[in-house]
Amino acid sequence: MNTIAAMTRRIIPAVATRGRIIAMLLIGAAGIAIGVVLRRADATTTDMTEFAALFGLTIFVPLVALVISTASLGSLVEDKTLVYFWLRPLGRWQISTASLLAGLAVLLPLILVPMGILGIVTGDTDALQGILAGSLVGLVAYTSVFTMLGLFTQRALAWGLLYVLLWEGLVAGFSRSAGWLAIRTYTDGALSRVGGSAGSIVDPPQGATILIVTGAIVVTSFVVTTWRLNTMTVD
Amino acid sequence: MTNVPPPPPIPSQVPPPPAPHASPTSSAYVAQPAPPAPPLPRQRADNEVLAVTNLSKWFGDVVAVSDISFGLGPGVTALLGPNGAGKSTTLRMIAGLAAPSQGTVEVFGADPRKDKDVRGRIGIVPQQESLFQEQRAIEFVALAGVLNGLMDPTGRAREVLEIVELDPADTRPISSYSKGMRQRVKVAQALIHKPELLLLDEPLTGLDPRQRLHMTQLIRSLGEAGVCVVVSSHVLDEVERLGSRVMVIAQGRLAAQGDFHEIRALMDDRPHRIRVRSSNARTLGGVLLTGSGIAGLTVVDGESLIVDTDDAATFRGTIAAVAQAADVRLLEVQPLDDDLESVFKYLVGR
Ligand SMILES: Nc1ncnc2c1ncn2[C@@H]1O[C@H](COP(=O)(O)OP(=O)(O)OP(=O)(O)O)[C@@H](O)[C@H]1O
Ligand SMILES: [Mg+2]
Repeated sequence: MNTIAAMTRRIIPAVATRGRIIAMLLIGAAGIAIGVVLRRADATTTDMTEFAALFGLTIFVPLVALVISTASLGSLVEDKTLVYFWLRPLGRWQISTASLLAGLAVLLPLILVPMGILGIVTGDTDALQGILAGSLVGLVAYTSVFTMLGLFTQRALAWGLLYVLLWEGLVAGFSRSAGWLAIRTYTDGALSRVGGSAGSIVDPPQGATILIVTGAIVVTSFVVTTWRLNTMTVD
Repeated sequence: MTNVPPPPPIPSQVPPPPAPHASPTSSAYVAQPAPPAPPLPRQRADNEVLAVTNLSKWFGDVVAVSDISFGLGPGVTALLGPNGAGKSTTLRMIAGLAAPSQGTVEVFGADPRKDKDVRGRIGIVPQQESLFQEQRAIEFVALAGVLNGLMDPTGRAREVLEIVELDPADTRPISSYSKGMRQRVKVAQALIHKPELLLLDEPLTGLDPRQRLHMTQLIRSLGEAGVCVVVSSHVLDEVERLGSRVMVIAQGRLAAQGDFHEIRALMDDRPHRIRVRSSNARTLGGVLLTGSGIAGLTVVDGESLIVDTDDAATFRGTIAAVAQAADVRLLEVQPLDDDLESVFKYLVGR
């Protein structure tokens, strides 16, 4: 679709500012550096994979997705340019789609390249595949949720951080039922299922469950984003 | 494919929409009853583009727009009011950008917030300056063309940029543009799909006098071509040059409506307060009191006196002769309440 592509092309530069990209690349590089050091210190494959899960899937992937995706629609709301997409003879789902695509386009290389390198550093093909699978699940799920969040509040970064650190980092770690409501469960789960024994959680969800939940997160976020676009006040 | 049908034929005379609460005393004045009136069945003119019925909007305790009703057909209409009167809020509800707290807006018979085809017939120049900064003007305007489903968005973008006197080949980003240039970029994107309803929120701000003239002519010609143009402004002279119908909006209410001359007359009719400085205020005051048309007079000091008059035009026309006859040297005649604020206050308070 011509219109979706045009909006996506417009959102990408607004989201991928130089400052954001450099900061995110630096964090990724730091993770890789630690990985290399661990490897040199003769860490086992399991240790390496656990580090990739801990640093990569619980910190790096959600953080990068948060910073980029909340800006997709959030920056349009903040600088009051949303009106130039909104007051057009388009379905609002097209704006939702464009914002999601813009986030994914920026995040795909920004997440998968550092995580891929981290996977290679582990020195294990299964681990590499598991890490990439987990990253992919995280990329899609976090991007959807945080794109939606950016439309709801100008403080999306703060709320997103709170979610990632408190809910995913703490609550979901202690309570198994809360864990079902954390994206991290599914990124870790994908790592375990694809990467075999190297995964960090004891009893990962089934592969099919991971796919269905990830799909449900994407669809729900998309529907809510479109609903919000339809009912919101535009400056 | 363009989804813009040709504009309706231009009627030689646009019949004024029936005013729902017209006061018998003045055709230019629409009295607003204190309690919100129930929606009245309004007769629609055939060519009515826009119908606003008992429209209100509040933000918490702030009432931004209060029970406004009107209908508009093709031609230019000015929304005149001081800062904070509710002009932008009204325009934003007409465009569907904000939902009314109460009442309805219909554009071409549909709700602009819900009907996507109606959105394609509206063009808006928002009040805020923000644009996509790092883009070139041609890219920004062409994007509007793409989103409006035009066949040749870039070609049409070039046309509208030329209409607003900007260079389509300019390679500089919009971030380097002056306020007036940005204003014209905003107008260009609003024109690209030949909208039948054009909403302009203070489109002349930031323009230099020559550009103002050009923009004014552009707005007039669009109105003559059958576009329904609504322009907000807080400058009386601007509105006069648009030669348009005027709706005076103050404190969220429709205080008066009519053509420009009616509004001007209404404003001249109100009591005026004028300060007169002269070589001898006491003598001049004494002479003035013997004449007619003076509602009140206060001598402030040896030089200054303040006059209340119902007929400011006559007063201004005769004061020099009166002073000369009394052998008083006139230093200054200054209207004290000629600012719009007091004009609006008067209109709302009537
Ligand atoms: N989003 C908002 N939240 C709270 N109050 C608002 C909001 N938007 C407008 N208002 C208030 O509503 C009133 C009308 O505002 P509006 O912007 O419509 O006035 P205006 O006539 O366009 O004024 P100006 O000439 O300054 O542009 C003002 O008192 C304003 O403070
Ligand atoms: Mg305004």
